[in-house]
Amino acid sequence: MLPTNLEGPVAGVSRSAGVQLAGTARSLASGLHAWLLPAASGIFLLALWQFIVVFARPLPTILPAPGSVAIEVLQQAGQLAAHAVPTGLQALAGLALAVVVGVASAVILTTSRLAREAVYPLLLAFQIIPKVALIPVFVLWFGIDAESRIIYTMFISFFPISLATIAGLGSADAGSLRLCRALRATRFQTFTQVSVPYALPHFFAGLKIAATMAMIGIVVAEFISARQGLGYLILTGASKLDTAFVLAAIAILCVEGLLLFGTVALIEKVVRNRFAL
Amino acid sequence: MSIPVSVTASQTVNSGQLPPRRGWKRARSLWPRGGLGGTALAIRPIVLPILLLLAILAFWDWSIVYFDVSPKILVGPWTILALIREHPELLMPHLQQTALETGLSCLLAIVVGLVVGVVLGQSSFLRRAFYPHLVTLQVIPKVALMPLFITWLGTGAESRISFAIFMSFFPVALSTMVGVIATPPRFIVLARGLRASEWQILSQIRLPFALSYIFTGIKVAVTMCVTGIVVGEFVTSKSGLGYLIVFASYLGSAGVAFASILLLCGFGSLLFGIVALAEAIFTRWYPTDARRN
Repeated sequence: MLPTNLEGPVAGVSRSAGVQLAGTARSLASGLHAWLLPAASGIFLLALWQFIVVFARPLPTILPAPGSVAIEVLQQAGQLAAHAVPTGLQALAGLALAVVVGVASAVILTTSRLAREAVYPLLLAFQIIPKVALIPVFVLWFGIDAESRIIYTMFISFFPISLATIAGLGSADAGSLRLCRALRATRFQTFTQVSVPYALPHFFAGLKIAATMAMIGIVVAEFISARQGLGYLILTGASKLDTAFVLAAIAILCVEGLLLFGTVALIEKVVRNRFAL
Repeated sequence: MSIPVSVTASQTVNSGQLPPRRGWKRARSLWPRGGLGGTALAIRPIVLPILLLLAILAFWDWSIVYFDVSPKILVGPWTILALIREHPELLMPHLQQTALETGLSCLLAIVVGLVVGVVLGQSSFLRRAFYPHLVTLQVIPKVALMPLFITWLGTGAESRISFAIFMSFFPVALSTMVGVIATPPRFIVLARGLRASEWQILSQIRLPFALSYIFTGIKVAVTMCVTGIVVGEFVTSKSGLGYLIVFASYLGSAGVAFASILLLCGFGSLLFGIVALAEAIFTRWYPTDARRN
C-alpha cells in the first residue's frame, strides 16, 4: 500500500503534512514512475501471454505467441504497408472533412440562435443512435469505393467535433465579451480574439474523440465493403484462420490509430503554446 | 488565461456612453437567455426542433416523389413506417434477437466496468500500472478485434456478446475509477475516524459520490454496446437487425434496411432512456446537494 492510503484516526491530523510530503516525493518520482510501472505491467502481460502459449500450447489459430506475431509483422511488412496506407489516408481524409464541416456547423449554430435552437437538440439526439448501422446505406448510396468510406468516416467523426466546438464557442467568459463590446470591438474581432481561443481546448477534446472514431469508422466500413485496407485484411485473415496475421494487421492498425491521436495531441500542444492557454 | 484584445485606445473615446444600439442588440444573443420574451421564448427550444424535423420529413417525402428516387436507393418516411406496421413478422424476430443480446451485454458490461473501475479506484498501485494501458485501449480501434472473437468463440451469440462487453466496459470502468477517486477526502477521513470498514466507505460514500460519473460512463457504454452487437451481426450473423440491414441493402431493398435502422435507433434510444431514468431514480435516493457539499 502507498502512503496516501492513510488509515486510522491519525489520518486526519497528519493528512495535510502527509499530502505535502507525498506531493514532493511524487513529483520527484512521478517522472520515473509514470513510465516505469506501465512499461513493467505491459512487459509482464506480454510475458504472461508468451508463457501461456509456450506451456499450455493452444492451437496457433486460437492464440499465437506474441513472438510469432512480431515475426509475422516483419515477414509480411510489404503487404501490411500496402494495405495500411489507404486505411490511414482515408481516415485522415474523413477526419479532415469532419473538421471542416464540424467547425463550420458549430460557427453557424453559435452565430444564429434560431439555427441553434432548431438543430442542436437533433444533433444531441443523433449522438445516441447507433450510427454504425448506417454503413450499409452509405455503401448503397456511394458505392463500394473509397468515397463511401471517407464520407461515412466524416459522418461519424463530425458529431464530436461539432458538439465540442459549440460548447467551446459558448464558453467564452462573459466579462471578456462585455469588455469587447464596451471597447467597440467588431463582432468578427470578438469572435476571432475571444471566442476562438476559449473554444480551442473544447475543439481539441472533440477532435481527439473524432480521431478515434475516424479509425473505427474506416475499419467497420472496410469490413463491409472494401477490397483493400487493414479492415479487409483482418476479415480475410480471420476467415482463413490465420490468427497471427490478423493480430499483426491489428497491431499495425493500433499503431496507426495511436499515430493519428498523437498527431492531434501534438497539434493541440503547439496551438495551446501559441495562444498561451 | 490571457485573452488578446487588440482594440486601440482611440476606439474607447466614447466610454461612459452605452455602445450603439445595434451593437448592443447583436451582443445580446451571446448572453444567457432570459427576461426578453416570456413564454414565446421558453417554448422555442422545444417547438423549433420538432418543426425542423417535420420539415425534413416533409422534404424527404416530397423529394422521393419529385425526383422519382428508385426504391433501391431510398424510400419515403411513410413507406418505412408502413413497412414496420404491415410486416412485423419480417422485422420483429430480428429486433428481438438484437435487443436480447444488447440488453444482456449491457448488463454484463456495466458489472465488469464497475468491478474494474472500483478495483482501479481503490488500489493506486494497480491504477498506476494499468491506467495508461486502459487509456491506450480507448484510443485504438477496438472494433478491429471482432473477427478474432469469431475465431475464439464461433459465429454464435457468445462472440457478439463478449465483443460488445469488451467494447463497452471501458467507459464504465474509466468513469467509475475517476468517480471513486474524486470523493471529497474529508468524508473518508470522517468515516475512518468513525471506524468504518473499507467496504462501508466504498458502498456508502465512494460509490454514491461517484454516481453521476458512473452514469455518464454507462450512457456512453449503452450506445457502444448497440454498436458492438450490430458490428458483430454485420460480420457473423444469420439473423438480427445488423444482418438484416446488410442483407437488405445488398438486395437493393432500401425500405427493409431503413425500417431495421429505424427500429435499431428506437431501441438504442429506449436503452438510453432507461439509463437516464435509472440515473434520475438513483440521484433521488442520493440527493445531489448532499453529494456536492
